[in-house]
Amino acid sequence: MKKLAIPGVVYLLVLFYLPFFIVVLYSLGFPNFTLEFYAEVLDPWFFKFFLNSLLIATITTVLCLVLAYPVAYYIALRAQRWKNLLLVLIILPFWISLLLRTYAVMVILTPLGLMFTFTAVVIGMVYDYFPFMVLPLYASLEKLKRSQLEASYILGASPLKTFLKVTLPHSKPGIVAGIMLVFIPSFGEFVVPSMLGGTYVTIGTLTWDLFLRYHDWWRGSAISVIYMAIVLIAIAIYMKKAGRIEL
Amino acid sequence: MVEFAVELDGVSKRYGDFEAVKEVSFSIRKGEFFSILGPSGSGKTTLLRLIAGLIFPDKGTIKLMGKDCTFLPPYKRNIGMVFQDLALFPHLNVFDNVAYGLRIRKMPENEIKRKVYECLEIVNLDARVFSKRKINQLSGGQQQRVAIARALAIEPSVLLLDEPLGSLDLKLRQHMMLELKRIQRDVKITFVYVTHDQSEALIMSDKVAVINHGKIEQIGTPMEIYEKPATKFVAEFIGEMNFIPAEICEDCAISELGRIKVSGLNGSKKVLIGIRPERIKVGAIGDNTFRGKIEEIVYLGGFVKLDVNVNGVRIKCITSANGFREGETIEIGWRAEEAIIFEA
Repeated sequence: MKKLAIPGVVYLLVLFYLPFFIVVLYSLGFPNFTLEFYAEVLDPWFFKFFLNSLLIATITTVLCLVLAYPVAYYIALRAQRWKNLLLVLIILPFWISLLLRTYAVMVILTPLGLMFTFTAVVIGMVYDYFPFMVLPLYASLEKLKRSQLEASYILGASPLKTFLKVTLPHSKPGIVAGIMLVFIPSFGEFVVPSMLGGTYVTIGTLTWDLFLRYHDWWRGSAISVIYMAIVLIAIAIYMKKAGRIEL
Repeated sequence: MVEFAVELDGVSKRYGDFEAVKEVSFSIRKGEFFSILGPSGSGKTTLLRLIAGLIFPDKGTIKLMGKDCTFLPPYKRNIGMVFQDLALFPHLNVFDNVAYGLRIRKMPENEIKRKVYECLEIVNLDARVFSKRKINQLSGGQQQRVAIARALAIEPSVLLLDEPLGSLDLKLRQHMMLELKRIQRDVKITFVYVTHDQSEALIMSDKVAVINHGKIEQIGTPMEIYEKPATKFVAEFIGEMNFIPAEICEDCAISELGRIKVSGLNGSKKVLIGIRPERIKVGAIGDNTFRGKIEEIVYLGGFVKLDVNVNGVRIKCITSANGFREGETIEIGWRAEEAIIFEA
């Protein structure tokens, strides 16, 4: 088993940790050493792009959760023989490239006059990340037995109380996983905001522009490192809050 | 005072073309241990779910404690139920599982504690040891007890049990049968127990309803059900029974065995004569004696089961005597009044 793990570890080292190390090196002013890029990037003018991303990611996550929960509930507990078909329909859009899917959203939004707005970015993001919320919710709700709901009714709980006291706590691991799977990538997302958002700048589009348009490796790297730090801290706090949940 | 805890009157339920329950009527006295016994697919679980309000009937009425509850949702019925898969809440510990119904009823926390401890004591679980345990840290038998305690905590007017012992091994099952009977005597709550296992029904119940194809075949005490089965199905389903096709002719019946003396003849011509294997004695005893060859001997510890060929008819008999050989010719016999006559 030990030997079999080597290719994976090497892969991770060469393609993830090495580039990450290079990014950190550049953020520190490679080939010189300076903290000025961090100072610049943490300037309020830059920092508002972090807040933009935070806002987008938060709204996307909340909307995905609210929209995905009933869908996951239905598939897990009610759909019966349609279960697999519905799951395939949820996953199906993934077989098409993200770029094409986003173009498809453009086609829909243009006649509605919504292009290049904040709303457009949110619609595109929710559309893209929706399955990431449905699947973990489905996985946790699927383990909920119908008899547990019935036991709750018989013990005197109305359907609403049963939802709050049995279904919701039961699906907590799915909610925790779904929030992470949607929040983290949508926080750094750049394809959707750059295609649908126009002048709406997020941390993702900013990094993209710095690296690929202005070839500013140092500021781009500094922003990337701060972005990663924020995400890591957020996850750490979140995992602690979400408790010792067996995912 | 209400005499009956549960009253069903002409209750029917169908799923598409399948009639799960047909015109079922019966009443369960308060404080009774009532079993619904039937093979799988006979409609017994459907009946229980109708009483629970988890499904509603197409026809008929259901009364609980004298009150019409036919279409009352389950959360307004104040009943208890122990599910086949127990349906404990895995996200709650033992205490919170048992307290669930009480918290819904907004009982003060100190009273909840008292009640939960009391119920855990009834099912023989030490509250100080088990309160904080998670459900998946309990053995099958302990989970069973928690499920019963949870159902009892709300002081239900009826406790419904849906084959709760099915998943336990034989030894534990036998132990839990006696426990359930003891619990029922202690709490004096009406128990409605669904099972396909005749020994569970016979051992625990005050009354047994035998159901088949959605219809009640017979309701009676375990002894009545066993000794005086009303139909061939009941006779076959509970215990073992030899069936001998015969034709009534004046004061006796003609069969392939020969003439059989029977008591209490009825008018019908073609009949089935039923006789329990343990009522057949070895030797020239009783009003009916036949000679036959032992085809098979099954050793059952305290008893042996003989398969005797009498004129081509296989007759099973159970005896505590010993020392038989296969191929041996013996005499067997029974008294006329031990036989039960069914219309063919």
